[in-house]
Amino acid sequence: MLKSAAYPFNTINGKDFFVRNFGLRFGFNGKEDDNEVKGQGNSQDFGSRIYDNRLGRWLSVDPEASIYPAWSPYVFVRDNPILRVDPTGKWDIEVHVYKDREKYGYGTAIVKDRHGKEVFRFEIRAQGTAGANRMKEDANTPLGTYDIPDQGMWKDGGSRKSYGPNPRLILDPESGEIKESNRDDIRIHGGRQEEYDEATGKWIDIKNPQLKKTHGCLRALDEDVATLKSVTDKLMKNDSKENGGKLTIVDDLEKKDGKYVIPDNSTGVPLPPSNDIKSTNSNTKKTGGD
Amino acid sequence: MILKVQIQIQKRQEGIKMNLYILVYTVLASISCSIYNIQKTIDACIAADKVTDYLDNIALNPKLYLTNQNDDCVFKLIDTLRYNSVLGSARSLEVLGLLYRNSDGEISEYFDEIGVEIFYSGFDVFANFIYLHRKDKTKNVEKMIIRGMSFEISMAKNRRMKREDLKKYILNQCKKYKYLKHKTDYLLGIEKQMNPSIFD
Repeated sequence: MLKSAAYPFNTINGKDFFVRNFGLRFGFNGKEDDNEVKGQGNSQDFGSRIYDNRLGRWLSVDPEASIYPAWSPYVFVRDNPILRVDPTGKWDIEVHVYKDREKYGYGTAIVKDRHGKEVFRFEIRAQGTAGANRMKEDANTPLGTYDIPDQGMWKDGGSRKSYGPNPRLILDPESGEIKESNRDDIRIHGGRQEEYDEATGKWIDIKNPQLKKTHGCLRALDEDVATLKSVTDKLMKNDSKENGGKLTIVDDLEKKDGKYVIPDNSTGVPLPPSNDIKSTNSNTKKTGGD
Repeated sequence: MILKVQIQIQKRQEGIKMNLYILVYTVLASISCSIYNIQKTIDACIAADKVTDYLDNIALNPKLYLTNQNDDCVFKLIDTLRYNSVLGSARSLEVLGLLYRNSDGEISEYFDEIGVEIFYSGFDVFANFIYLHRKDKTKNVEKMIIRGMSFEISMAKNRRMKREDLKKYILNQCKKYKYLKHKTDYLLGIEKQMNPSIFD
């Protein structure tokens, strides 16, 4: 039985929690320990920089430091390792949901490019039909980190009503509740906002579509799924270093004045309430039937 | 003399213990080996191509045919089972119910569509199956149909009218297949369990 616990910056008696307890070669943030300079588990090699987990600081400046001029270029994840991860060098998705999803089952997904710059934001439903116990199948979407595969990240759903006219974004469980629960097949998809006409092979819109509950997946409006695909495709087309990174789900939405807002401690300015957020590309047309 | 006998008894007991340990170890090792082999050979793609040969294996390990498998192969497997069920294979329907019970996420979502299709295209097959297994506690197939139809009602413009239409459809089908009153009442009871609000 483990008697110790991981600390936010991975500091535990100067040892890497994951390496020490599980004998893993790759520990905190999935990075390899560099034991030669400062002893066992005291620094990790993140590729472009070395991280000292005793200090919670980098040993060299951030190559993308110009994006956050207010922050020291040596700071790790803007001093909030619970909420943030170090960008993977690929596009990532942050999903913010409310703690009690039986009260408020919606959330906001923010897509950021490999430099950490927001490129798209859309509303999702993260509420399952089986209720609040996220360890259970069909229940609310489990928190944690999911990997977006480099190859075959989008899968076509064909004429299946469940997913709608656009493909699904594949997410592989990596850490957190999703890994602990042994749940699988969690995706981002649209669906249930239209009818499929088999005779014509076309999708027919339903008036005033709602984001219906899922069986654990993240459901978005069809037009948002289409935009997500086009935005990320464009990122990868224009920048050869871009690829699918991670999707992280955190339950940090706060209720303020009857609205659900994303706290952003780095600027002190709350972002627009998630339940007021409209798709930034609301005029985007659906991609149509397959 | 007594001491010698005691030592001999002790040695024998130790020998028996040792043999027992070896026996338990061998049994456990063979079990874990066979489980490993089952897991290693489970492939939804192969099973989808030879469904009838794999029915028993899928029924034994439904979860393993759903997790860490190629999505397209899982869908192919489910679609083939659905097709066979509609054609009248009760065993395929039973296996489909087991997969439904173990599914999650996108696969679970797809089972709602499967439930609707079986309700409309394979009424006699599913009606006979759920009536025959009405005392079965798990009721996988029954739940799959109820949840699928709940989804169907939830998508309707007028839910009350949709429910009325469903009742009429059930009664017409029962007449068509000449079901007895008890069976008809049982199937009408299924309609009452449909709850579209679970998707709202």
